[in-house]
Amino acid sequence: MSMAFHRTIALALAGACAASAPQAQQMFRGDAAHRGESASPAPREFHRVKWTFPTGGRIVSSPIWRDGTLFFGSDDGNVYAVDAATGRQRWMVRTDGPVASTPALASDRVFALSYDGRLYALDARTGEILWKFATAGERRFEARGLHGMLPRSQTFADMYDVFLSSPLVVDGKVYFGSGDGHVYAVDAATGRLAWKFHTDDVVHASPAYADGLVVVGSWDGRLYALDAATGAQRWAFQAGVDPMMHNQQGFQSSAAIADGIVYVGCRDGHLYAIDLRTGAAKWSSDTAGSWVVGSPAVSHGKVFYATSDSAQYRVDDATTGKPAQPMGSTQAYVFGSPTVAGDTVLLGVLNGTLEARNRDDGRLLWQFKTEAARANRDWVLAADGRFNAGLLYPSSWGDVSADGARRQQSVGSFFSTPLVADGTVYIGSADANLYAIE
Amino acid sequence: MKDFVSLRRRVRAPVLAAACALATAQVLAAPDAAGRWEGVADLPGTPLRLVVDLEPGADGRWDGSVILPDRGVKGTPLDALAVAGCDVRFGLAAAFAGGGGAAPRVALACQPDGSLAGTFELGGRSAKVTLRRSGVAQVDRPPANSVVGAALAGRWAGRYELGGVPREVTLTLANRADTGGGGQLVIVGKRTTTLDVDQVAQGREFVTLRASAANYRIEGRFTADGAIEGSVIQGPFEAAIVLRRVEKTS
Repeated sequence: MSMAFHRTIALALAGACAASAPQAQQMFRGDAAHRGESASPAPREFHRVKWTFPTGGRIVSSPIWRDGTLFFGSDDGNVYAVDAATGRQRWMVRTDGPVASTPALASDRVFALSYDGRLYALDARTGEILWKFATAGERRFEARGLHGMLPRSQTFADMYDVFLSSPLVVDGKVYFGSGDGHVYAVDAATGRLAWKFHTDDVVHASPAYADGLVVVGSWDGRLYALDAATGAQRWAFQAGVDPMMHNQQGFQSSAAIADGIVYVGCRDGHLYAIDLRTGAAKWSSDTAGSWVVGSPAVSHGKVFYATSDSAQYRVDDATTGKPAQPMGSTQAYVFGSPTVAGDTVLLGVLNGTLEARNRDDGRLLWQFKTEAARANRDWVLAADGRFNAGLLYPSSWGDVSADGARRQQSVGSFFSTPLVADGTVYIGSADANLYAIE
Repeated sequence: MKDFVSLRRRVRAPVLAAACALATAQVLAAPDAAGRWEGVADLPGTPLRLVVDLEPGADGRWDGSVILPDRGVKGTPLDALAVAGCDVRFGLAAAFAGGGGAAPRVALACQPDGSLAGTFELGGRSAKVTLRRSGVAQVDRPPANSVVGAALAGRWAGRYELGGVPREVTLTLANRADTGGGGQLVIVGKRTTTLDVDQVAQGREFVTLRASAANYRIEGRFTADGAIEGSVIQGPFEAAIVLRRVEKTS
């Protein structure tokens, strides 16, 4: 038999072996309210890596899924469609910058934002470019003496501002934030601007939607609720600001909305619960200065989230804000968002570990570590999985700090948020691979 | 009936699984260079990860592409690819195009353990490279040129401004016998530049035209009333442009 014949048969059988599932997860955090719940339960035990799909760059984008196809972006500048059963590429589309956001699907279109400052509308089946919408351009959050880096008079781009805003699609409009400081609403069919709303700094959080409101935070320290039809501001919630180091400031986290309450993390060291109708705070959890970068998940009356440098896994009562479980430790920073999949919570950690925890008590069920995390070149990680911070950050000089952050990611950090479909977990890594784990 | 369906499922699943395993094993056991190969070049200090896809074409000529996960490279074509049995040689000029430095050359040969091993040469240095087969080849091929449709064929004129200098553009698009759509750009600014448009991607409403030798492209939405509204992009520079059709050809 010829090689080509073998390949054809292997592919055909792989397709036949693949089952399809009824659920679709068509945007960041699953749906417009961004609750982070998966219709498909996650495996309770780790069995194997089913496949890996290598790209040319770090993956901070999270995969979305429909009808057996995964869509995601990579910092190599491409948007990908990959067969979920086989890990084979269906198409890729090149943009002019890292695709550091999660695409969104609506009808037959994929919408993706690139660091080239453009929103792309692509044919979901072929990848054909249907239109592009240009913003005024992307940039990272920046400030003088940021995070205490030296020299104090120097303006530094924030090396921890890794995500772009992930588009939200509701009722024929695509909503997203931009490094140019605006929140945009664009007609999904034509790519024409419907409205834009100005904030005072970078908007890299992803808008969430409920009851006619688009809710999104800015690095200016405010969470905004905008009329989805007109872009008019309904309310703004002012979180903490940090004029000295700009460290304890800004919404990098995207909001989740459930039962009329907006849950959102902030770099001011809090998780907030805010009334969707009025913008008034109902409660807040203090993380003692540790950022909440990832987006909370809301499920079964609880809020699931994690912190950055204090590496806390937290579960609060959604109504009262009181701890619903003893605090857990992820050992290292968390920038990704938890996914509640059945009775399991999945969470990617920057030390290259994907964690699966029991939803109801936080007990660790299993872990997967990237090959780079296991190899742990240059002792990026201590034996207990924490970062060797003293080794990585020998001084506060800006260039040294930026190099430390880059080396930190060399263990295959998980910035990406896990997706579960058909019982398989899909997640991207800073090692440039998309993993399928079962 | 329920029992029959259940039995059929029980029988079908193992048969399919066995067939999957057999076909995959036969593909993976192929005794030639075809396949996906993954490994590292042992550059001192910072090993360079490589994913190389190699596949023979129907005409016997080999095709290949490379992924360099640490360098932002995905699916870049291999150059000067030569395969004899499982001795493989190729260059990585396209993957190392930036900076104007030397391009690596890779030479590999089959090893008894099934790997491909050899040398990675760059700038007068040589490092050991070892690749292991990880699956079937997934060669990335550049998209074929679109056939230029009636909505675009013809001559177009427009104007853009870059760095304070206005530039008049004349674009001619037509189909070529061998490569599909193509064309010519004449740009008149401080001087006159003529570029060959060698890549055309025409979608339903959006077109991308590339003059790859100059890293120059025009892209935008084309409309039924004979306009292309979009951008001129050359490296980091970008300007808005509207082209209007001045002559239509069939």
